[in-house]
Amino acid sequence: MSDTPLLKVEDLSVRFHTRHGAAHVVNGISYDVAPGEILGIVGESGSGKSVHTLAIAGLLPGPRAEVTQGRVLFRGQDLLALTPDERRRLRGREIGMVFQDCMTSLNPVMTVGAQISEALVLRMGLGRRAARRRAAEILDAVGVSEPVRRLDDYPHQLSGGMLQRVGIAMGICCEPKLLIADEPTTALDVTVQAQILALIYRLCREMGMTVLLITHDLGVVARTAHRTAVMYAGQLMEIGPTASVFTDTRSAYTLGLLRSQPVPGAGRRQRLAQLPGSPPDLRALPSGDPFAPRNPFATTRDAAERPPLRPVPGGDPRHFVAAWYDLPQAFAAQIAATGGPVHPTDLRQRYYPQGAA
Amino acid sequence: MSAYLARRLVRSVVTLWLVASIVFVAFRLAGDPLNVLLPDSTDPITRAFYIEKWGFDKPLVEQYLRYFYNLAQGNLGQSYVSGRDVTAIIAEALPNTLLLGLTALAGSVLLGVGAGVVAALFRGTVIDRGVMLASVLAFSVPDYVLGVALIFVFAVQWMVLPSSGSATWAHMILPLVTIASSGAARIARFARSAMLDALNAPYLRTARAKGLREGRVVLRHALRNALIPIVTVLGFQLGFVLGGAAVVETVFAWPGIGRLFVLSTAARDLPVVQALTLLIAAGVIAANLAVDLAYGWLDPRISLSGGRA
Repeated sequence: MSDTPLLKVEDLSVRFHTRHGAAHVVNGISYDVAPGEILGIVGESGSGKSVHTLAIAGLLPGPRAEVTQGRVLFRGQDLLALTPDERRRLRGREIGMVFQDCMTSLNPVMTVGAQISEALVLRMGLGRRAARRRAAEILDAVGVSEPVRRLDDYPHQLSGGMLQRVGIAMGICCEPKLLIADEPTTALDVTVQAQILALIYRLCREMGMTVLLITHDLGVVARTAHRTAVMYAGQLMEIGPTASVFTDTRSAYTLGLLRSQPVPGAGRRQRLAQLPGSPPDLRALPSGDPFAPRNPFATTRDAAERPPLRPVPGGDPRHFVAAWYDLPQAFAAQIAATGGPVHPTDLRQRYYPQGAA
Repeated sequence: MSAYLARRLVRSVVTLWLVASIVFVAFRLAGDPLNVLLPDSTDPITRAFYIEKWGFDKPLVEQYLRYFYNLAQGNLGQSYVSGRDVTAIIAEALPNTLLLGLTALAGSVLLGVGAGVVAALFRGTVIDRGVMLASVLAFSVPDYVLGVALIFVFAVQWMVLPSSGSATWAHMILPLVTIASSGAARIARFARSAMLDALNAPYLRTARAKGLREGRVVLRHALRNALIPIVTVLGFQLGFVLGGAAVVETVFAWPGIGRLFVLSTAARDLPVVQALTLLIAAGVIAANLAVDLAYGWLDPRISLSGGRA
């Protein structure tokens, strides 16, 4: 899993030209993903998590979105240097995509079978009948019952969970090396969510597929992703093995996200913590850490100078954080000052700033 | 599906009956037709002869029932003016209207959908603005102005095309351009907005993510979805065509339904007007039915059997 990366994103920036000026949607993010790895990418709406994957796939919307700098190396080849047609050829075949809300991301006037076999015929060169057979096999593989009958159904005839499976089937039908799954479970019931995640996990293992799993749901990455990346205001705040990011959290933003999740067993009346303030205006980003204004641990340096991603001190060597402050140290200092209670069994509680709720 | 059709047909017959009744009443409210049909100097004996011949001496209820009795047998009566069978008169005019109207419709669909799609693809550019400007102009210039202007330029000034009549195919060009330009303009605006909706739909990104060529993405995925709202305008246009473009046919002296309607109304030729009104109403009803059937065919989410959607 730790051989040469399948995908290497280097200092990628994306800008949207709006009527009210340029919005810096993605700001110099770098990471790499090993073959067969699932990288979970979390962040709130507008954090650039979806947009940067559209930039990877070459699907940024029209002339108003523009990659301003960086490289995207896919199997050593810079995708951004390719012609639009070369990038098109990679889509579907090498880079598959699954989108949020298959109610709207499937074509309402084409049968499910036609939408899957279309890719098989046009991209894999299969004959019509072979494509139809293969489409049924793939539907079966993603857990659609009675796949042959479903081929002739239109999207509106299927349930949300089935549609998402069809969406995944379309994403993987040409057996891509990289699957970009953009909020694949957001529109689904919790039980169906778990099934879909298990499916992605299984396909990743069986097909040796690499997955970028984009979500705002921390529970989803915790269950599925090998590594987790946290984005805020178009920047990478923290990235590392999922267990390390969740239990040895080093970014105050990640911590804020974790704190805003309900704790199982805490009852209905628990008060969820919320981050004070709101995300920065992407058209006028501060020069320093964009989260600094909302971060009680931010130092003056965080406010002035953007921190680079660095290995976390005294933690997992594959765990990186963009912060000038040291979260565990800042905590220790705060606990010493306030003498607040510490729950060593719940690391989220331990790291939570006392009195800031 | 067949139950749906049967229901629609029954409703269409009821609509036609209402239309026929309204026409029947309206024409008798509009004054004694005989005063227009016969010169003031007509002697009372001749007058009485025609009153009896056309049945105006009978009670209104009997006139009404006789009218529907004949109608049910396909007998549309004789023209008050020429005495010829109305069926024959219409049979002469209808092919001309259909030829002109359907050709114009086909032209305006091709031109309108094409222009709308191009405008949507180049949204916000000079091309888009140019197409939309042309469409506003074509749509807002009235047919009689455009028709007369075309006659002035091509028939009077340059003398390259005939101004009126229907003798050769060249006679069709000017009326065709006149009808098709406003139709194309209307369709282009609808096509553009329907296409923009489809181009921004999430399923289009999905199609691109499959690595399909842009041509296929636009035609197979976007246009196929955009056709659903476009068909709505087609319904209006089709009804318009079947009714005969009265103004254009009159301007170009094209011997079709529309011109016949105008002439017969002016002459109070009641049987012809009644028959034409029914024909046009039937045309509009048929166009609406065709549109609804087309929806069912284009959009699998619409179920015509009234069952599960």
